[in-house]
Amino acid sequence: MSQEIFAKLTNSLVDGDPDATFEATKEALAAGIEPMAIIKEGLIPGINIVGEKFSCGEYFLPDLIIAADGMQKAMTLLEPELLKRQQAIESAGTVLLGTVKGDIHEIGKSLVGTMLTANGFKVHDLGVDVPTETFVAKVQEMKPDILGLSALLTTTMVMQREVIKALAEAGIRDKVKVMVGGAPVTRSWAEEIGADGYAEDAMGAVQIARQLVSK
Amino acid sequence: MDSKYYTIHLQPIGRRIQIHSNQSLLEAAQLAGVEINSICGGVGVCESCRVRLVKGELSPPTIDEENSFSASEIQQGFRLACQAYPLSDIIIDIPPESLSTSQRLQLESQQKPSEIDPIVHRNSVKVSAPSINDLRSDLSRLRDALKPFCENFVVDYGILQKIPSLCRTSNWSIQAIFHDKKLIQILPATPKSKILGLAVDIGTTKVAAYLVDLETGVILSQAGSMNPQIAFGEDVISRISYLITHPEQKSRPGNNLLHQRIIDGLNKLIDKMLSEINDSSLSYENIVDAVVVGNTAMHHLFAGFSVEQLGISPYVPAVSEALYISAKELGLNIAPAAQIYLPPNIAGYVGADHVAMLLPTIYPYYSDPQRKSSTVMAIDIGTNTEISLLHNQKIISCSCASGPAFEGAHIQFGMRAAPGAIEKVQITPENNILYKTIADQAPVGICGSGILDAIAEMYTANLLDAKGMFLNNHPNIRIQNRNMEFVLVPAEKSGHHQDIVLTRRDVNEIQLAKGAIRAGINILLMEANLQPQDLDAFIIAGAFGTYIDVKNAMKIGMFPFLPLEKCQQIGNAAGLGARQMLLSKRYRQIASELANQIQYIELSNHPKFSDEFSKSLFFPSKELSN
Repeated sequence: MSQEIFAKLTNSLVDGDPDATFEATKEALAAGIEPMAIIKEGLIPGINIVGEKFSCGEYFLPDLIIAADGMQKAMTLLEPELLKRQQAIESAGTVLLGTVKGDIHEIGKSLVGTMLTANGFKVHDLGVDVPTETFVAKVQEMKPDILGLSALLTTTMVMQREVIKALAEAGIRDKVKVMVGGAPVTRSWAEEIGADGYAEDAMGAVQIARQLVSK
Repeated sequence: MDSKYYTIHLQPIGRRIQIHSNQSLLEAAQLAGVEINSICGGVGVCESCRVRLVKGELSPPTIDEENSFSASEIQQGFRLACQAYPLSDIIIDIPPESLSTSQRLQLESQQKPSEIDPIVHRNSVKVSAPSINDLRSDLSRLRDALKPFCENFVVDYGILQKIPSLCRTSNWSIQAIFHDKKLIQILPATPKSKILGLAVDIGTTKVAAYLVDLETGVILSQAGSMNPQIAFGEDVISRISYLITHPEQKSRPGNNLLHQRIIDGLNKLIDKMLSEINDSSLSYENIVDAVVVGNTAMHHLFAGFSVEQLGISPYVPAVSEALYISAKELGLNIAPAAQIYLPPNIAGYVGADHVAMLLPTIYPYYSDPQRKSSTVMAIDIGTNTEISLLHNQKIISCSCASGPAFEGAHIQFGMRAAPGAIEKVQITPENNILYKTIADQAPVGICGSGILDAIAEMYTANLLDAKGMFLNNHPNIRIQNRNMEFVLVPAEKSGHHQDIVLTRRDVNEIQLAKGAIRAGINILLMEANLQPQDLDAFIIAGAFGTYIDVKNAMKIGMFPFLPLEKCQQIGNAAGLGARQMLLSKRYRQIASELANQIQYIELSNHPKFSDEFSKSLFFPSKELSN
């Protein structure tokens, strides 16, 4: 019975049908399935399939957005239940995320945040056009496992290097893993500026983040 | 020679074609529907089909090629397309000067400027010749002769130098041409040749230029070309980052390669238009006024201002007020003292071209007491799409990064609107696919209006869902390497014997473009607290906007659903606005007033932008279309 509902949850995300996700979540709760199991067995497998299909070019941005929407709808039902049970979602690690100074692109960075959250990371999103000093101060204050820097323009990706430099100058470069991403960012750029990780897309970011926290 | 097939990538047009190893790169381009100049017909003598090898291996240079290129050019990979054969898969770059301009570049606009009162005016006078009893200087006698028309005028230095010889060769009968109160040109009084004005619209992708008779307003010649800066990147940001990453260019904003390229390109267009007018009494000396419009980056690169600050938030222009610059300062090949007028910019991504576009679109409403309470939206679709909304006698504007997908870029079989491009597509209720190509040639690719039609028709025929996912219910839908594609034209019917397909990736590119445009429309409406149905008129300008099926643009959600009678497609409105400013000094005044009063809305950090963009990626409910 619960396997059937998990499959329904997974498929509803893969098919991009947020209303079905919402209904299946309701159904699962009504059937007495624990909210944590709904997330782990039903939703996360679905969002990961969507992410994989996106990585290999079978799915595109609209598919990702609608899957994230389904996930969010389900969470509106699950979060109060988790609270009731005084359960926190197990954290895979904490990630501080932001788009660098001079760049106001939001969507790519937010998708990375959504995928990380879906996979159990605790994500603090600093938003866009984030000054280098803010990144440094927030790393000092929040002590995240990972700092994610997004840049969408060839004219602003240089700021990723600046942030890494500033972390070193503040003496906290070894306290946090830095991953970089964004349309113009490449693996060789990431290596050149001394980042710890680079991923081409949101799904890749989850894998890199997992690797970085396990190091 | 080996009997093999190789894939040739043609940049920057983004076309791909497979050819046999015994076919030349010129044949590859022709098969792909890319019109490379080939004056000699491919025998290696005219040097008009120059291309540059980016990647791969070609047959060794022929003697003709060694004669055509310097050693360093050969080193850089320059070849004649008609002489080079592939030995591997190849990427070539086609410089804009090698592209034939037979592409439809959308110069015409439906209306003609009605008001003729140019800032430039001329007076023919007989200057009294000097004698032993009249020892006035040449300039003094010219001033005296012109006194009835213009007193105390300033004389351009170059004109001062010209006065003595011209007065004598023309037997003291001359015509003086003034820009307001400055003498900018003198010509012999006979023949009384026309005086011309140059209007230019510099787009990120395309350039349109017009030579206009300043006294009648008639367009004597018009020409279009690709923007030669394309070699440095297809969008504004990549051109700016070229300059940032080439510091030797950055240090000299007025003299960088991008500036030089656009000036050279415009000079070629001027030559071409003059030779087409074919009037021996006319030369570049007769072109005594010019108006140049473009987006802020194009404006800055043309005028020689630095653009680095436009590439990084908060995207501030170096100069936004209206300017006059002498032609000789910029090296533009018109009368050297002509004062080139650059209308004001509004913001970093809304430039003088948008101000120009407002003159024939929004301004007629704004200035008409009967209609000024109208609510009107005007949209100029391009690589950057600018939108303005008139409501309660106020104008708000924004700019959306819609990208070059509608120009055919990033679309597998995308191409510009050239012969052989599919421009209209229809899917019948029986699921038959009908299409029309430009110039009715065998199809080789698909241009913006065709892509838009194809997607709207596929969505209507339930071949696509609202996410853009292909529904596997048509014999022409197939899966290639996990990707869905729709066969629009089978190989046996296409001009290059390959299937012409539309992939899910192509559909997604259009979703991104139309999503950005629709997000801009929605946010402007939201800012004014309006619904789409509150619009009294919806004006669509720009090259692509002229040819699209507006109904289909609504079906895919690029535009809101509106009664078609409220929609107008008016062609190159920026070009028309530039001509209005060329012919009327009052319109220059209006341009400054409009630019001052427009409220600019920055979309990228607008709190609603992400939401609106995400929503607008999807296709709208079909029920709305009825």
